[in-house]
Formats: sequence, structure tokens, C-alpha cells
Amino acid sequence: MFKAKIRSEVLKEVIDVIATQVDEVKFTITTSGINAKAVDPAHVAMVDITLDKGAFEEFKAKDTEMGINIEKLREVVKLTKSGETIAMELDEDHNRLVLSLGNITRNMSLVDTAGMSDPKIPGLNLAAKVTLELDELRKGLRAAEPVADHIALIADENNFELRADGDTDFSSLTLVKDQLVELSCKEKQRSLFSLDYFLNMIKAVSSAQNITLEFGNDFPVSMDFTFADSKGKVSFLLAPRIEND
Amino acid sequence: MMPQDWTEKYRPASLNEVAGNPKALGELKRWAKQWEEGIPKRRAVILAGSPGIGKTTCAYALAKDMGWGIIELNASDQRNFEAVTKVATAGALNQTFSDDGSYLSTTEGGRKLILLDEADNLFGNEDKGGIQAIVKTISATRQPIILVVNDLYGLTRRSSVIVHICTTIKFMKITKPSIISTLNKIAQKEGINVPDAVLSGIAVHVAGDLRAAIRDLQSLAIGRDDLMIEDLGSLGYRDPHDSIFSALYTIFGTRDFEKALSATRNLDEDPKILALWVDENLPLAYRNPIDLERGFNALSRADVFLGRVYKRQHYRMWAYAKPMMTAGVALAKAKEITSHGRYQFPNWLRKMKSSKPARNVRKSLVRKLGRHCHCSDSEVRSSFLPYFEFLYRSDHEYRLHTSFRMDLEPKEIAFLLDVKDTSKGVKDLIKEVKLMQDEFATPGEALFAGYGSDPSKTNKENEKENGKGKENEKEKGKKKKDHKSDKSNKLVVKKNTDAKDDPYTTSIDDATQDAEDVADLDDELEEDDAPSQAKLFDF
Repeated sequence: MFKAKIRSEVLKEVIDVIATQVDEVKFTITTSGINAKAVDPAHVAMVDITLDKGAFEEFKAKDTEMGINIEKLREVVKLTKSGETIAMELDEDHNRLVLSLGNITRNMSLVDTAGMSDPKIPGLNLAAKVTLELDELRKGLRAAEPVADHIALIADENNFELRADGDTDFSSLTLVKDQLVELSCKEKQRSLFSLDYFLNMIKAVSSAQNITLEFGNDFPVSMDFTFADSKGKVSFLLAPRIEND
Repeated sequence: MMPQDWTEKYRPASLNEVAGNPKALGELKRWAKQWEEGIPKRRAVILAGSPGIGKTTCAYALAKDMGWGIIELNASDQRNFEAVTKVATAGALNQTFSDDGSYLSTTEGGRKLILLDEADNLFGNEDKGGIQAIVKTISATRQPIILVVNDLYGLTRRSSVIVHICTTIKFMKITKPSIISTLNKIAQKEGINVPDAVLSGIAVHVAGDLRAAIRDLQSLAIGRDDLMIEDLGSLGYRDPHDSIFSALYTIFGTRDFEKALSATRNLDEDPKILALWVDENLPLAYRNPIDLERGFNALSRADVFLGRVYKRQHYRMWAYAKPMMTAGVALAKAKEITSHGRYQFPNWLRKMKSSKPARNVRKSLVRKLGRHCHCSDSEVRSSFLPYFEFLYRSDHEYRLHTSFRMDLEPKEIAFLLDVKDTSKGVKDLIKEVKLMQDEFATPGEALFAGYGSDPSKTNKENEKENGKGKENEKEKGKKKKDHKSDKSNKLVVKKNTDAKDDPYTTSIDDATQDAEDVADLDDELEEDDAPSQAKLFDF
């Protein structure tokens, strides 16, 4: 059983985040909220998104799951304006989700979850932790975009650098400890990532102020942020480029 | 709840459990081992073989054996080949998260197998771009790639590079004893009684397709514990779809008339294409010069009949052509041989395809010249074109005037001068022609000192109305027809042009019946042999 009301901009952010990885997703619903995990088709990136029941206007649920086509859901959300409320109810007998927005009712058939992968999030030990303003990160990525198709995240005790080395040009965003919300890193860490993926994920973030990056040496990066008054939590994972072997 | 598909339920988890093809499995394992010591020279393998013999299964089993992650991409669940290439490339250059929640780093041997299933169908009608993108991905990949194909030639005809950068591993059909023993194991696990005769009946019926065998067994066993020999009757008939390679293999191997003839019965290939295949591969199969001579003799007889088919549009002649090129060739040899089976795609077809743009330019040029010289295309090609080309190249004044009068396109000029159509010489000439056009408003005066034809104005206008595009023959054909009907009152005036063009138009419309390749070939045959002329007389 699942019956809830949610503000349209919160649902939109959930959709944007998941759409960076997959077209279809399985939501796991519990009494305390909903969660979805997805890995992209190339198995290079993952997302783990949790929406606490507090993020909903109303929330009533028992443990269940539902498979959703993200693009279909996006079309429904597009019908609403920010601030409007969408009511959702899972109709398990007919295997569909009933959405109501204003005077519109939309029945959406669910996707069979049997064939969907159920990715687990790996436990990683990441040595560097950097929290910075999302706008700073965006600027750094924008600077890197014309230069190269990959970026390096570098951190040491006092600095964080986002660096792109192209064939002829390079770009760098360097922030010292004072300019960061948080920096904890004992020794120098560096990993290289696909800029495409990085940008794609960052573009999906709309309401967060700060974002926390955790990474290591030639190791994945996790990007964590909250939304919907900290009632929603997102953790992106991105595997590094293969540099040499 | 649907009962689980047995092909899934009993899918082998390790290469050691895979039935059949020991040699191919060994090769696959050796390739995988190389990845443990860094990136091998061949970064991708192609697994080729008919459906249902375990190619995809092997890829999954290999990944499991090696502790690799796997991503499977195929034509059906991705939107298009671009999406497939994008995902494959991303997968090929980055490290991996596996489904079971671990992070696989290549520095610790944790790789990800990129499986391109049905790779021969992946590119749809995309001719070159798609396959080149995959070639690029393979050259750059830092993760192992496996391409699975039913029809190897479906892949290699698009790019010959791909065979050079990949190791090709051929999977053979599963032998009858292997099928029987696999079915037996499944029957035991399912607790059903199946007489040996039934197992062997299924094995014969599926002709080496193990997946079909397992499905057949499951369908027979629904809701029962004992099977009887009579049950086999409900299996129905499976129409085998042969490949050109297996047909060639039979023709070159056997000395049995009936066998050789029936080798092509289930083959979806035009006789003239088949003749080209035989022609290309006959010298590869027959080593004895006497066999070879007699073989080609039979084939040439077949070709005579094929020629009659096209000349007279008399398709009954196929009944003579086909036995000559199959059984005739087969019986030409003194004794049966075991052919080694490395057959090739007909070179002539390949060349024809790649030279098509150039030939189209020549065709339109010849057509224009013919109009002015008042003679047929083949006459222009054999008698006029060489001299015209010489004059055109050596005399600037002549070049300028003929270009102007025949309204030559840049490509045609480039063809005559044997340079690129973007070259300076062509551009300069076109500028001069433009100037002339401004000066004399109407091109189309007498050519060849007025000795040729005197193309009337109507003629010229007619051509312009129909659009200049010679490149789109079919569309032109349609337009011509419309044109003809709405201006039928003027038909007398233009009889000259219509009579000339219509046989082409209709013959091209006829050719749309078949696959595009064949249609292309029709054009080619018409152009290079006599039949188009013959048809002209028919008309």
C-alpha cells in the first residue's frame, strides 16, 4: 500500500536525479519513506536516492515496491507548476499508479520489477572529503568543458583542485581550505573522471546549496547532497577513468 | 505464475558446464587469460555461429569465471546504435560498479565485459558510420569486448577492419550426442521420464540448435512426467535458414547432384548473386586445375542462362541456370573434397558498391552526351566518350563551350578532368561557364559543329522541369510519369525523349521489388551489359 501527496518540484528533482542513470527504476517503499538505487547501463555510475516521509505532504505506506518509467512520470510532472501538489496512489490490483493533479487524473501502468537489477551500493573507504558550494563546482566544470573530456579531482591538506588537461589547454578550479565549507584530507589524493558523467549528474541537482565530494586515489567519487529541506538525500557514485594498467 | 524458461534455468554458470564447442571455448579462455596481464593485442573477440548454440551463454559464463562484471547491449533494448556505442564507449574507458555491490578496479584485475549481442543487427541500415564507431571503441577500450553475431558476414561486409582488430572464434552447431546428453541431464533434474528415442528425435529435429532443443523438451513436458515417442509429432516443422557459406561448403564438397542443388533451396539469395559467390570462391575450393576448368565451364553455362533471363526477362531460365551453377559445379570435380571453408565475399560486388558514386556521375554524363550525339548510352560509352574526354582535357575553348552547352555539373566536369570536384580547375571553369550563361541566355545550341543533334528548346525545358537530379532515379521515374500524364497532349513533340527514358523508368520501378543490394545490382547489370538496350528494342 502506498498513498502520498508530494510537491511537484520535489518530485521533479527526484526524476532528474534518477534520469541521469536509467529510464526505468524500482522504488522501494517502506513505512518511513521511499528509496531507489540505480546503476547506469555502462556500469560506470550509480545513484542512491532516499526521500524521507517528511518530504511528502502526506504519506501512508506499507512495505512494497513499484517499477516506474521515469520519462512517463516526467511528463506528468511537466503538467504542474512549482508549488503545486501531486497525489499518488498505488493500485496494486491493477498494477498501476494513479496520479491526481488538480482536475487531472492519470493512470500509469507500472513496469515489471522482476527483470530489473537490484544494485547494491558498494562500501568504499574514501580518504578525501570536500564540501563546497554547488555554484563553485558548476563554474569549475563549465570551465573544464571546452578543454577536455575528463577531469581530475585533487585534494591535499589545504587545497582542493578540479583540473582538466586537454591536448593544448588546461583549466583549473583551485579552492583553499578557507573557501571551502569543509576539507578533510591527510595526504594528497587524485582521481580522474569522465566529464560527461560528472556534468550530467551535477545538472540534475537543482535545489541544493552545498555538495560533498568524497574520493581517493584512482578510486570512485561519491557526491552527496540533500534536498527538500534535508528530507531527501542523494548519493551519486562515479567510477574513475582507467588511466593505466 | 509462468513456469521458468528452462533455457534460463539451466543456463550454465561456468564455461566448464557449457555443452559442445571445446575448441572455441579454449580459445575464448586463452583470450580472457591475456587480460590478466594487461591489455592484450586483440581487445575484442567476435563469437560467430548460428542461433542457439551458446555464444551469449559463453560470454556470461566467461564473465562469471573471470570474476568480471558484464554489461550486455543489444539492438532490441537500446534505442539505436548511437546509444549503444555511447554506452559501450563509456563502459570501455571507465572502471566498474557491479550489480552485486562491488567496485571493480582494473588494477586489481576487476574488469567489465562489454557484450554486444546481435552485433550483426546492431547497425540497422547504417552503412559505415555505425561500424566505424564500434571499431574506434574497440581500438581504445581498456575493458574486454565480445561481439556476438549469427552472421559474420553481416558484420564484415560493413567493415573489413573489424576482423583485423578482433579475434574471430567460430561456434559450430552442437552435435547430436551433446544435445542428447544435455537434454538428459535436464530431464533428470526435472524428474521426467523421456525415452531415448524422444531425445534423439528432438536432437535431429533441431539440427544443432541446443536452445531450440531445450525449448522443445520443455514444451513437450508441460504438465506431464512421462513422454512417449508419439509426442514428437506435435513439434511441427522448423524451417532451417541456411547461410550462403554453408551452401558453398556443400556445393564445393559434394559430388551428389541432388545435394548440391538442394544446398541453395533454403537460401534467400538471388541466382546472380549466388553465381558471383561461386565465381569468387571456386578457385579457393578447387585446387586441381582440371576440376577448376570444368567448374568454371559449368558456371559460365549458368551465366549464359542468367544473361538470357535478363535479356528476355524470361525468369524460367533460372531453372537451367541454378542447377548449372550448383550441381554443375559440384560434379565438375573428379572426387569429393573436404573444403577448408574460408570463403570470401564477391569482390566484384564490393567494388561495384564502392564505385557506385563515380559510375553514377559517368552515367549522367553519358546520358547528356547521348542526347546531343543522338545515340544510345552504350554507343556513347564505347565510341564517343574516350575522344570526347581527350578533346575536353586538351582544349580549353572546347571545354568551356561543351560544359556550357551540355550544362555539365561540377561532378561531371571533375570526372572528365579526373580531378576532385572541389579542385580549383573545376571551380574556375564553372565560373567561366556562369559568365557565359549570363551572356547567352539559352544554352543548348548545336554541338559537334552542328553535326550531332539539334536539341530543341522543349527538350531542354523538359529536362529542367524534371529537376536536374539524376541522383534520385526513382523519384525521377515517378515525376516522369506524372509529367507524361498531365502533358499528354504534347506527347508527340517529346516522343523522342520519352521513348528514350521510359524503358529505364519502368525497369527501375520493377527493380524495387527486391532488397536494395539486388536492386543496385540490377542497375549495374543494365548498365554494363546489353539488356537495357535489348529492352529498348522490346519497347
